[in-house]
Amino acid sequence: MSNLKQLMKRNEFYIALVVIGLSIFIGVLNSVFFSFQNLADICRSATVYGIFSIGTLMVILSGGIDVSFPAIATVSTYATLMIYAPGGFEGNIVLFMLTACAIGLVLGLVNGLFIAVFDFPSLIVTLATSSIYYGIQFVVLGSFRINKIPSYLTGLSRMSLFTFKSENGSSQLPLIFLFFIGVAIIAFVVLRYTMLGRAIHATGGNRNAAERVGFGVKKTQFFIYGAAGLLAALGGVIYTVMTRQGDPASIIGLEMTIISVVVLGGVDINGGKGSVFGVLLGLLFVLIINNSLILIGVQSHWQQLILGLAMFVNASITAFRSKLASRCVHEIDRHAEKEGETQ
Amino acid sequence: MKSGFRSIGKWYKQREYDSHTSRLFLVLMVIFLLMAASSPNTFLTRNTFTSIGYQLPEFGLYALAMMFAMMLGGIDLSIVSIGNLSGIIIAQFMSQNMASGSGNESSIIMLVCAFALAILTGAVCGAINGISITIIGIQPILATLATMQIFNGISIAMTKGSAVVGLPKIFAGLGNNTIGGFFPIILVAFLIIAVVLSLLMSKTRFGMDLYMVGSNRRVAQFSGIHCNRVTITSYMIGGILSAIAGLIVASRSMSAKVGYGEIYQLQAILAVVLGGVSPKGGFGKVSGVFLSIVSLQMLSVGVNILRISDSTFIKNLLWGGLLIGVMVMNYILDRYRDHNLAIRARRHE
Repeated sequence: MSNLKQLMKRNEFYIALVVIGLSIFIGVLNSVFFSFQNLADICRSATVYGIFSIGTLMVILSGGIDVSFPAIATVSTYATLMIYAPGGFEGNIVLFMLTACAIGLVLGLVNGLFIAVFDFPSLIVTLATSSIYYGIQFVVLGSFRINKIPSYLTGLSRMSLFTFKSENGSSQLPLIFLFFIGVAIIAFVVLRYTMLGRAIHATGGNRNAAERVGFGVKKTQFFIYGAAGLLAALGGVIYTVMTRQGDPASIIGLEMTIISVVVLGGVDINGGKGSVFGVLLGLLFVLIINNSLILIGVQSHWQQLILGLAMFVNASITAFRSKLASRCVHEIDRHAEKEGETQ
Repeated sequence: MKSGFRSIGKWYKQREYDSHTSRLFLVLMVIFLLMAASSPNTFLTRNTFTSIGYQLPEFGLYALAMMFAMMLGGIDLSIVSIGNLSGIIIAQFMSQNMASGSGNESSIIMLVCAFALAILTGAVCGAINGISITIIGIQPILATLATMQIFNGISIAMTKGSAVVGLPKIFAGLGNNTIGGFFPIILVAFLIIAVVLSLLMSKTRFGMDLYMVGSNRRVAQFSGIHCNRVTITSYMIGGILSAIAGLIVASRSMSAKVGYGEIYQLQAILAVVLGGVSPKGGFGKVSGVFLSIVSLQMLSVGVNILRISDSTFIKNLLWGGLLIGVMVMNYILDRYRDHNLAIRARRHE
C-alpha cells in the first residue's frame, strides 16, 4: 500500500496513465494503432528524438538548459561525412562514429567551458555557441546536401532487428533502434547508481549545497555538457543513417521540441528532479500525438495545438501541486508558531 | 588636451553603473569604423542606411518585447508566435473584409480596425503568459514554451499551415513607404516606441516597480508593490510589441504564415543580453538594447554589402561570436574592477 502511495506521488505515474489511456483510446477507435507496423514506426521515430532527449535530460537535471545540440549534431555529422567522403579517407562504421562523437564531445566541452569556468547562464551560452556552430557549418563546411554517404552507413540503415511480413508489404524494426536502447540504459545506470549521477542531481537541486558536500560542481558541468555534445553527435549520425543523406538544414529548430519532450516527461525545468523513465513516457506521448492522431481522423494541423495544451496542463498541474506543497509547509510553520505561543 | 582626456576618464568612471552600455557603444563604434574602413565606397552610402532602417524595426520590436520579460528574470519564448498569430488574424480579417485594390475611406477605417485587432491579440496573448506565470505559478521558460506551441497551434489550425495572401495594397504602404523620401515609416514608428518605452522605464512608477520586482521579488512584495500586476503588465507589453512586429512583417511581405521570422526568437535573447540586460533580472535599459540591436543590424547589413560568402550564416557566426566576446570582456573587466575596488578598500583600512 505504501508502495502505491509512493507511486501516486510521482509525476511519471500520471504521465504513464495518460499515455496508456491515450493508446487504448486510439487503439479502440482504430485497431491499426496496435499493429506491428505502427509500433515499429513509433520506435523508428523514437530513435533520434530519444537520443537527443536523453542528452537534454542530463543537462536539465543539472539545472541548465542546452539549445545547441541540433547545431552540434549537424556540424559533427557533416564534418565527419566530409572526412569520410567517397574518394577520401575510407574508414569503417566504428571509426566514423568515433570521429563524429569526438567532434561532438569537443563542441560540447566548449559549452562546458563557458558555463563552468565563466559561470555564464547556460541558455545564453548555448544560444551563442549554437549560432557560432551553425556559422561554422555553413561558412566553412558548406550548406549543400550530401547525397553519397559511405556504403557502410547505408548498410547499417538496411539492417533490421526483426522483420514482420504481412499482406501489404513487410515492416521492420531497424537495428539502430538498439543505439537508443543502449543510450537509455547507460543513462539510467549512470543517473541512478553512480556517484556522478548523484552529483548531477545534486548540482541541479541545490548548487551551493552540492559544493559544500564536496561534489565537484564544475567537473560535473564539464562532464554533462561534454556528454550532451557526444550524444548530440551520435543522434546526428543516426539521423544521417536513417535518412541516408547529409542534409545540414534538416534538424535545425528541433531544440524546442526536445525540451518539450523532456518537460512533458515530468522533469523539473529547474533541475534536480526527473528520470529516464519519465522522459521515455514523454517521448512516447509526443510520438503518439505526432504519428497516430491521424489514425483516428484528427488532421495533422491540430497536432501542435494539442501538444501545446498538453504541455500547458502538465506544467499547470506541476506548478499547482508545488504551490499546495508549499502551503502545507506554511501551515506546519503556523502550527509550530501557535504551539510556541501557548507554551 | 590632457585635462580633456582626464575629464572624459572621470566621466567614464562616474558612469560606472552604466559601464555595459558605454562598452557596447565602443564596440558599436569599432564595428562601424571597421566596416567603413574596409570598404568606404559601398558601406558609407545611403543605401546601407535605408536597408538598416527597414530591417531594424521588426527585429528591434521583438528584442524590446523580450527585454520586458528578461527584466523580470524571466524569458518569453512566445514572442514570434504571438507576432505570427496576430499577423495571421489581421491578414485573414483584411483579406475577407477589404478589396485588394481599393484605397477609399472605408478601407482606412478597416485598416485601423485591423491594427486594433492585432494589438488586442498581442495583449491577450501576453496576458495569458503573465497569468500563467503569476497566478498559476509556472516557470516563465516553461509557460512561454507551452504558450508558444499553443499560439503556433492556433495559427496552424487557422491556416492549415499555408500562407495567408491577398492583402490590400494600402496595407503594403505601411511597411514600404517613407516619410520625406528617406525615413521609412516603420523606422520612425519604432523610434517613437523605443523613446516611449525608455521614458516608461525611467520616469514612471511602473518602471521603478519593474526594476524592483526584477531585482528582488520578495522585497518588492513586502514594500507594497503588486508583483503579479507588474509581471502581467510587462508580459502584456511584450505581447503588444510582438504583435506590432508581426504587423510589420506581414506588411513588408504582404502575407502571413506560421514560422515567419522564427529565427528572431533566439536572436532576440542574444540581442537583449548583449544590450546589458541581466538574465537574472533587475538590470537593463532600453538604450542598451537599442545600441545592441543597431550594432547587430549594422554587422549583418555590412556583411551583406561587403558580399562575404554566405551572408546569413556568417551573420550567425559573427553575432554568436560578438555575444560571447562581449560577455567574456564584461566578465574580465568586472573582475578587474572588483579587484581594484578591493585593493582600494584595503588601502583605506
